[in-house]
Amino acid sequence: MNDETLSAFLDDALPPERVAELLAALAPGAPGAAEARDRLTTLQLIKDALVGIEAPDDGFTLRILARLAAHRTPRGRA
Amino acid sequence: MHERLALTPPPPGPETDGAAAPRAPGGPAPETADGALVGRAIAGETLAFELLVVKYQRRAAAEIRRVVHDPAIVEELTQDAFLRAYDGLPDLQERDRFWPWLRTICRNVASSYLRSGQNRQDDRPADPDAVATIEAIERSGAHGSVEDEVAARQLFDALRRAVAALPERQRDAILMREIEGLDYRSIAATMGLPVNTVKSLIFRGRDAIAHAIRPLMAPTRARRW
Repeated sequence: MNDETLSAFLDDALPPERVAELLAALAPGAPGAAEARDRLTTLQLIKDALVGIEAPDDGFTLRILARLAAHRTPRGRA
Repeated sequence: MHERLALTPPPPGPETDGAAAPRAPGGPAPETADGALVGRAIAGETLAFELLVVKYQRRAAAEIRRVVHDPAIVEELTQDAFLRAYDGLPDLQERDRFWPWLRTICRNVASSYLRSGQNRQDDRPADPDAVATIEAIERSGAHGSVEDEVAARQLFDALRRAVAALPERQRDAILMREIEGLDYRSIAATMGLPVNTVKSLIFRGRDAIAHAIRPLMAPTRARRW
């Protein structure tokens, strides 16, 4: 996954037909996924900072995803 | 290996979360990547919604921060907003307009909080799965701290310095994109350059900024999604 693709996604300029490619590159266990996730995180951080949105701490994303994961379980959705 | 894997219940397959029955994708063909992600998330593809979280989490928090100032409450309401969005995805009529829809949810969540005047700890359902998950996060060290806030501030300052140090054309292209919200074609017209050149300027500018801030991001690499 090259950075121009990640950049285009964040700029709303990635064609929808390339989303499968994006998801495959970021999927857990995919070769280079960890690096691609880091690059996406950094690029998003840059975009947000430029419009004055401060970065929350690094655990912010994990905590949202953790609540989602708990919410998605059958008991969490009950 | 990402910490996310330790926090997420093991999925039965690589594409779906398997918790609930897959939701029918349906809807018109997407015109944007966001629209495609919404469709895939409705169909049960966990990573699709996670990508929307990564893309919009800070904007969502900033929207809530307009009316709520306590950082802990802002974070909790941001999580609430994404949970509501997840549950409401099948009802989203214009899938290509995910952000405007999420922004409305954020405003409603913040307004509801202000109106309620209730203690957040008291009105949260005692969901044992959620409690266990949050405890796991705290044990992992991914819980926010004063040091984290200081590090975030340093990073923000470094970003601003890196932008100021960019070559003029890169900086102009990036600022037109981010501050003025122009798309690639409009920036190209304004600068009198081909669209591909604009794409390249923006990409190279962001790459330079990323390089400048990399040392500040390295210490917490293991705590990212």
